[in-house]
Amino acid sequence: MQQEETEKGMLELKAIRSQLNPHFIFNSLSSIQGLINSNQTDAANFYLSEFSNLMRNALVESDKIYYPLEKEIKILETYLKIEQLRFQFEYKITIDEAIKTNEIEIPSLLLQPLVENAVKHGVSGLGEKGEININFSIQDHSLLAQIKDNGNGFGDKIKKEGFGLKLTNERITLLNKMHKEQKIDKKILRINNETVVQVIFENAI
Amino acid sequence: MKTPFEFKIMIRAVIIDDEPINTTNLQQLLLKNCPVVKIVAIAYNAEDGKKIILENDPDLVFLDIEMPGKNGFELLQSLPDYSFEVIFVTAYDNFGIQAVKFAAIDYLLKPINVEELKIAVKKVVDRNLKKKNNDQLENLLSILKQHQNINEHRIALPTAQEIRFLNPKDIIRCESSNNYTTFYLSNEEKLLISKPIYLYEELLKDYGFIRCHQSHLVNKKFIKSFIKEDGGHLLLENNIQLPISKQKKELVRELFTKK
Repeated sequence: MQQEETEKGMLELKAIRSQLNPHFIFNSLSSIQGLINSNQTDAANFYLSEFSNLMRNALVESDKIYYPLEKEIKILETYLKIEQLRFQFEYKITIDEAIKTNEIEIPSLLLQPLVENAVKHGVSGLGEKGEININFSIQDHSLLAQIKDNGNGFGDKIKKEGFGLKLTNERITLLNKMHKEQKIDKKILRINNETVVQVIFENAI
Repeated sequence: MKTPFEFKIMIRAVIIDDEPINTTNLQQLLLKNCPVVKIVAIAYNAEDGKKIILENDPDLVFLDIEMPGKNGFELLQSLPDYSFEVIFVTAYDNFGIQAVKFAAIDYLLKPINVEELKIAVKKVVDRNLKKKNNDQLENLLSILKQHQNINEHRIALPTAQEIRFLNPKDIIRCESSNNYTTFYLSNEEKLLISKPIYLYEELLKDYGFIRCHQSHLVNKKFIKSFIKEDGGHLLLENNIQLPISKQKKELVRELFTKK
């Protein structure tokens, strides 16, 4: 019975696994077209290969439910580099030295949609004033991921945010049902004029 | 002999898109492929977009749908009148694009395909730039405004002479002849539209239409009965009979067991 439940859960998880947002894919291609048509060949080459890296990683990893934190961080970094082409924000990713990013595993592409939200509903209208900070730290035996942006916060966008993250929220609920010892908790806060999304991976360390 | 002057039609256009790289891209593509279009202003958000439309009174607006703050549709809704053509530009096919198709307005998907761009611009040129109110756009905005209330929606059908706006409940059925679709209306009128039937199957599926056969799309409310003999067909209120294809039989049967 237990076995059956787990198998069912796995299947459901595969069905709602995170994928790259089609909007992002086509917007990136559009930006690359822009570089080509304005004769910025070097930049076009650079972004095309970054985009290919991201697509390749997302495709290869998409049938895995968990993967090393290192891979998620790489994907986030590539993702942000590409989005910088569209919106001229700054970003920083900081990782506590004690975190073994190649050993700790997290659900694949779980954080990417949250970072995408920080771009879309956070810094996209701010131009060069936009800032995104992603930070990974340890709290007791848990891993804490924080995604901060200095945008205007959700306000009337709260519905859109809810929709964009529906899949992520469903995934977390399902994962929590299957792994009661390693719950994932997601919170959205507003601190010092910044939107902060906190994800706690309990007992991940 | 024609003087070069006679060819100098010019389309005064504005571009509204939140990403500078996209506006540069479109400008370059137009310069190379559609020299008839002259870009008179560019805006990077809906607020400024409204301003440049009011200031420049353009013939054509290239409008991005998804923008931070107000989106492209909201920008249009904030304008007093619509004496210009619109070509929507968007990254992905979503609800908005369904409504745009329903209103038979042109749109381009990003990255932009040059051939599609040329066709869309040519249509604008062909509409010969008479400054008149854009009924199609008003229809689109009314659909978006009351998108819950589908009884009020009118589909735009481009015939050879004009654009007709019809409430789907006045359409009995559509019949296909390859690239063309004939609409049979409840007032016994017939309209020939040069678009394939699958497009209308998609656009009318939420309005109670069912594709009972590869050549037939029918409004359920005009179906009188389902006749099982001779492989099965549908009898309509006006006593017309429509065939049912093998693959669609299950679908039709379901329809009648639900009733």
